Amino acid sequence: MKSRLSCDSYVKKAFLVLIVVSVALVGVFLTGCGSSNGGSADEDALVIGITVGRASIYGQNSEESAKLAAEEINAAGGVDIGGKKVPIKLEIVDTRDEEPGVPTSDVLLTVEKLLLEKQVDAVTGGPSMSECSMALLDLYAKYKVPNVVATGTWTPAWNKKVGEDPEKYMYSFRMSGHVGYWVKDAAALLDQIKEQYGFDKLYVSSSDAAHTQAAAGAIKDLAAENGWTVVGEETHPMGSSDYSALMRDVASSGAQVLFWWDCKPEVAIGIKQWYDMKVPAILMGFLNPLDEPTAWDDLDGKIVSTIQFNGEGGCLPGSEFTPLTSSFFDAFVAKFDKEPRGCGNVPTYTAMYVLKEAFEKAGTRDKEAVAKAIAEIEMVTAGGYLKFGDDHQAVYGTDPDATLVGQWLQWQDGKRVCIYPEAAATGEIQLPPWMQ
Amino acid sequence: MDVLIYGVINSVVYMLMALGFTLVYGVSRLPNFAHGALYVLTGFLTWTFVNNLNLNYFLSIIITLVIVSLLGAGLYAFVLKRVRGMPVSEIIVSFAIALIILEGLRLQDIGPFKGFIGSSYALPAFIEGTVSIAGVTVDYQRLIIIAVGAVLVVGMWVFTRHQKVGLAFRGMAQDERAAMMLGIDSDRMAVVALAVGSALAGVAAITVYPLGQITAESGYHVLNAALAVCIVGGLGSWMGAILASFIFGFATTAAAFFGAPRYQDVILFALIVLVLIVRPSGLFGRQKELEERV
Repeated sequence: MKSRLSCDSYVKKAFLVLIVVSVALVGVFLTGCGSSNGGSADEDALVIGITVGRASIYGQNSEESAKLAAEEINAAGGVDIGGKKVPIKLEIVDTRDEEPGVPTSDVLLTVEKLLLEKQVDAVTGGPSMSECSMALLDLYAKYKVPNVVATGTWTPAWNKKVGEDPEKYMYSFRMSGHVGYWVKDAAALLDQIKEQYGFDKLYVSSSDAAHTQAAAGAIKDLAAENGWTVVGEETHPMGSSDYSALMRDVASSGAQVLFWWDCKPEVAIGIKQWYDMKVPAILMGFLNPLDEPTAWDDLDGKIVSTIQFNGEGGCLPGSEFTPLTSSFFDAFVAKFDKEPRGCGNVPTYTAMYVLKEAFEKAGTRDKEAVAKAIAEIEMVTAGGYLKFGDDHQAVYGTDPDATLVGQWLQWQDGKRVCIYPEAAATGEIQLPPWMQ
Repeated sequence: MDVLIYGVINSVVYMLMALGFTLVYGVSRLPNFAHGALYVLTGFLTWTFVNNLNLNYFLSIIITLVIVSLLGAGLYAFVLKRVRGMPVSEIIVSFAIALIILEGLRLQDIGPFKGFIGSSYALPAFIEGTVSIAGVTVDYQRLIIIAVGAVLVVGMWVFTRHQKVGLAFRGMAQDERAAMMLGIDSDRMAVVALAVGSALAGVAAITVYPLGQITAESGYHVLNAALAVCIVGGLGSWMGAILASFIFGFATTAAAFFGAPRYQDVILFALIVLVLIVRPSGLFGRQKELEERV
């Protein structure tokens, strides 16, 4: 009996402690946080569905940019449809497409629910996973809803599918770029390094995922065509926690550039090891942690001189390659108190203005008329000059006066400096301190 | 030499991730599937204390470890205790708690809470810099990991042989019924085991996270690593867990240095299968042996 009483008393005490801890935890997490909500409620409002995986940075980038654009458009009076100004109302849904274990079918159901229940006039945002966006093409065709993919979905298969049946997929457009563009940019940047420093030895590494391997393989082939000697290549499992073998291999291979394509945050371990082991090769590639505007502080400055693909252009400080670039950047910083990361930011922001323009041009909410209006749009945007190809893919290139551009950054003195394309560059490529 | 040095480091990383899990299972026979979530929670809590509340790093670590320990204890007292003895329920409930924690950390706009999304969460290294050991460059944080691992192993040994609670742990691990007949309170021991096990997950987090970044996804990886180590070592045997950690650490390191890194996981899982074929209860496990005796 005594033991039982003692146990109950213990449980009561522990319960109290747990309540205190829980309250404290909630308090801690709530400290210093802030949030916002774009759009406003109005019966006549233009309803734009925002489909984003909220647990992914691509989704977060897209959602924030959509909110910013909606707020700006509404502040300026809204959208003029057939002579009547209406505000934009955002219907944001979490597609969860980058969360572990979420199947494509769940993503499709979420979007279908949005289309059926919210009566959206158009959709933009993600999902960012290519397989989800590919499957959604048929859903949008079925419900005839104008939509603009604006974050992720970098597979060239998307525009191939649309291009093969433009009538069926007339409602679908893609503002974000695709790997075909980015690989060419990477090869051109390698040539820039070759020209500037006379380097010609390349090591290619990627994580063990189909898309990273395919992209790394394409870069390897293009580089070899352009006179680079590929002195080593390697594929490592997703989520590795030690990259010392890779770094030793790169150092002993004589490579002057390590091109690394890896989409997992754990790769930060490898970046730090590259710095700590003073590997005599420029580190460039597509490495998520380097995208974060706070990466310099997060990784204790161990990212000096790393070169990173920053996604669709317009998110780097100091960039003014169109009259709208810095105004987007400044507005984003003012609203969210942080710099835009890159992938998905400018495309979503632009997509909102494209939809505004299309509805105004069509003068009606008729979905077919709006889709046709989108196809004809050409405009100056924060990321360059926008026009869509016959396959409904926004055209990317290196001249922001003629096309949209992707941007590559280098971390220099704690800042993200644009080094490519030349027309948007704000600095020159530098070598890591131990290679100078 | 690279394989030797990094093999030891990677082995200790495995060991740190698994020690808490195996301790909890050994004492209470509870597979705590929230182990990885507590690991991640430790990282984010410490980060929050340092960056949002501007607390001293080491003070933040201590506060976090206390919180995580209490959370572990609460986990048993209010949840796991109800399902103890029902293996499937134990797994479902503890994994559900893991999901609540891990996915909850990524929720956005819950009031002013924005969620931990992205790659901008990292803990600073205890000591910055590198050292060359026999021509192999190693950073101090990795050496600290080895030191922390050694201290924990020695500490556990002393604790379970010379401390009253530690001896009770051993009694529970060896034969729960006999231990209870000798006056050891099984529930109380389980509460303490969950508290200590959670703290061990926390210690692993604060020593390993400075190598890279804190992400919610890493909770699943840590749980997988802990499970693999404990199954191969023998569920509940911390000596087995240590041995299995070293087997995994050296196997994966050797695979990366001598073969192709992409086959690290293949080798890892092949080893698990191999060990379980030869010894179904794991290297130091007795489960199968006992079942067969019955």
